[in-house]
Amino acid sequence: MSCLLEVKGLYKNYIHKSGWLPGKRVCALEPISFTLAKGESLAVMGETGSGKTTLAKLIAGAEPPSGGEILLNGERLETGNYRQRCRHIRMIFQDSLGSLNPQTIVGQQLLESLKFNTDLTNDEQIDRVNKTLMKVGLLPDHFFFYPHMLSSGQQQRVCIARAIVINPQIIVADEALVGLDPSVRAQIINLLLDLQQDMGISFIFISHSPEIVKHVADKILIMHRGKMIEFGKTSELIKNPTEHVTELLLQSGIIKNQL
Amino acid sequence: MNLLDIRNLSIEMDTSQGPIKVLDKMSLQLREGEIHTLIGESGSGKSLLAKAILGFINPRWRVIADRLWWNGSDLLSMTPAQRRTITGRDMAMIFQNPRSYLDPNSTVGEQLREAIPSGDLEGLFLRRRADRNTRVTRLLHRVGVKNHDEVMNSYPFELSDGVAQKVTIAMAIAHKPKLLIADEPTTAMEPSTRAQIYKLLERLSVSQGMSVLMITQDMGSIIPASERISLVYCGQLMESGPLEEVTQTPRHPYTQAMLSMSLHDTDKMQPKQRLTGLSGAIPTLQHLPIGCRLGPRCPRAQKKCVQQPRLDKVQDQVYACHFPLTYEQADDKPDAPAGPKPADSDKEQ
Amino acid sequence: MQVWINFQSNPFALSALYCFGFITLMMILAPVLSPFDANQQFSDIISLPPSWDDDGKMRYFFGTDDLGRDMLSRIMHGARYSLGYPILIVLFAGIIGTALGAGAGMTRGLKSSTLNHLLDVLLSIPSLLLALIIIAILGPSLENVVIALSLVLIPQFIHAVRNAVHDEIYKDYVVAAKLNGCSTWYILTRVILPNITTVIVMQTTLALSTAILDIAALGFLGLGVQPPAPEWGTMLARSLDQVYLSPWLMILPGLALFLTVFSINVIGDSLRAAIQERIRNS
Repeated sequence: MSCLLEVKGLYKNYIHKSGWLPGKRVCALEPISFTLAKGESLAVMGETGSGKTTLAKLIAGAEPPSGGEILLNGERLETGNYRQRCRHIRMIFQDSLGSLNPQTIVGQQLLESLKFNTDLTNDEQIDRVNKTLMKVGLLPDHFFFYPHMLSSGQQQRVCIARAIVINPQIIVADEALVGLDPSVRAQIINLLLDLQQDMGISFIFISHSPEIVKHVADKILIMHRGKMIEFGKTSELIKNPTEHVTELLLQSGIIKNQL
Repeated sequence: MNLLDIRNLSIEMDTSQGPIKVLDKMSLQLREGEIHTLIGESGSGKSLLAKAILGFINPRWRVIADRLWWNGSDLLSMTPAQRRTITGRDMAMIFQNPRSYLDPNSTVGEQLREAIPSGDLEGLFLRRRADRNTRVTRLLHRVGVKNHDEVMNSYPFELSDGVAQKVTIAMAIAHKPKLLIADEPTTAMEPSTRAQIYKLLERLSVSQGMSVLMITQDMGSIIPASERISLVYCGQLMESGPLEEVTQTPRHPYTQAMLSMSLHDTDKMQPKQRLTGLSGAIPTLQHLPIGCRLGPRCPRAQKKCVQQPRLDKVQDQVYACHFPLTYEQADDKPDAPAGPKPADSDKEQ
Repeated sequence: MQVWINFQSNPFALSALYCFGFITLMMILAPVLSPFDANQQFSDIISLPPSWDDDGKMRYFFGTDDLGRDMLSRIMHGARYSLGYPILIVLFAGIIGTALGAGAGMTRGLKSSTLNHLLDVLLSIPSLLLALIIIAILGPSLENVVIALSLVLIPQFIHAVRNAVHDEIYKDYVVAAKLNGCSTWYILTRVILPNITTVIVMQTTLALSTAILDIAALGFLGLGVQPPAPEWGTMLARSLDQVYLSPWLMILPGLALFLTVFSINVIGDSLRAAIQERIRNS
């Protein structure tokens, strides 16, 4: 199977400055390589400080890597070229309300990416936004709502709509399901599964919850202290985890242990 | 005898559309040393219940209950001063986001020293100070913090989530309360830290004979050693009972939906199969349905559900439903006439 | 909108707004409404008390000064110098300061922090002192006062706007806009700027109050607007010698100054309270 995304030796260093002294170099992410196929879901798991958020930001383009490359369909993605990147890779944040501009209506925020990355006319853009709103389970009326008028589930749907409105190939979700009520979480998971089937989008999502990962992910990437320590199919990692960290992270839920 | 006995507690608030019952006939019993987990999504009024027990309700709201007893004495008929004495002596509470509940300007050690009740200390002056310090160290060890010097000299922002929550637990148990109310203490935490906190609460409950009322948002965060669990939806009690029975043979459709949404039996499902659960969204305070508030979303709802169901009991399990799930003696599968609807868009009515 | 509703519910704020609006209206319509010219001298009615005094005349409502000039006309025309020019100064300083501050806020690194530290040094000097230094170099006149006060107020705007932009720029919604492929200009004007309007409005009210007081102070010291211009500060200075003979020469301009500054301060304070109320309720 041809791979959609290929990450080669991607790494990130930060310079931690204190005062006038030359800063210390902190390695947030050590060189990492993996591949992702079309329509696949990859889960990235790890404790705090394991570098998973850094990895997500590097792939989505929110931060520039210190080295290594990201290849999409064999083509190298340039750092800082947001227009190129956002056409293929989009990001969903953990705090849906925080990732929406409080002073602009929802429709305007969805139009932004269309305005800067496509050649559609105004009417075509509005039409596409309305279609996208319906696809995520909202109404065209929601075009004119401000973010604070929506419930948390609806806000997360708007963020998903913003991600899919320009038909990307990969969506990076940084713990997007944390903090949602269970019923809303189930609805969003179903929505993401449907979108994956309809549009063939690949997902890279960061999650803490072993239950969601086991159900939704095709492959799992385990990170520990900035290094990738295990990568493979979900079923294999569940049956034969080679590392202790993997076993800990994939520990079954509490109810399961009871039954 | 029940330590905490709440029967039919309702909290009413006045709005422009008339009085609204934020909590509607909520019942809860807690014995000494029992761990009880209360599960409710947002808007279920679970935090309000905790505040009602402690007496923190907005005075403009009306608290009505058949019984709100603590150790045999009626909390509602006491004077505020008496109530404060009892709650101060016997109860304690820990919250979500532990770091925001600690004073950011003083070190953890100073705050812990303040939390030790002065009555316990022996000696005078310098001996008292030394005694206070030893007690703080012992307290930290009891909650599982080994490096007590380092922690005592840090400020709250320097602590990790798990350690900060252990510190708040230490401050809460310093005066040896009989009841510890934990309001979503691990919602934002990683699974490993969460497991640590749960083990700690279990251990403290056993060693100090302390009851724990754990309030949480989803089924995945139940303390494994809970004796009983209760489910609340929009201020109404849905089901309550021993942990094993409720999770294996849920009687209320809400319990079953919550169990399936917590993805606990993923190996029985196909990978990437759509989840079943409740359709629709949680109603806002202004649009609460009459009768059973789960009605509009419930897959088994019928016309009778506009009347609020009374609490029925099967063995030790209590539930409020006109059309509960029933089980044959042999197997554990419920014979339900209509299966739960797949979770869909949340278009509001 | 919610801010306006909160603002309206406070009666003091509303009356301050009306007061300020009245003074501004008088300033704009002064050439039309004032009974006489500000410099017209009536040599036969020197030092006439205001009309409510026994010796006063209705025709010269606020009386006349020691050169026989009608006080009412002088005060109305003086509003142009004491309120009109500060408004212009604040607008000018605001636009430049906001632009520079936004630019500084968007950049990171050594350049931005040195600029910030230089600004902090400037900001630590009181505004009046700084204006005096500049006037001492340039010489006293109306144009130089405008230049001096603008230079003094620009760092305040830069500081406030830079901090506000710097706070917003790390937030998720700005990152999301960046990842949408939006141009930097779009991000600055359509994404960040609408979210820092409260800061800009607060800073404008503060700056206006400072500008009015500084112009009056400079006029009082004789270093600002030169007589015979009817600036309130200059009028106050002239009235010092005759304060026992004709106290209204001091009280009336002083009262006008006081009312203007007071109403602006009340408006600014109530705006801040209204904004905080909206944030608390949302």
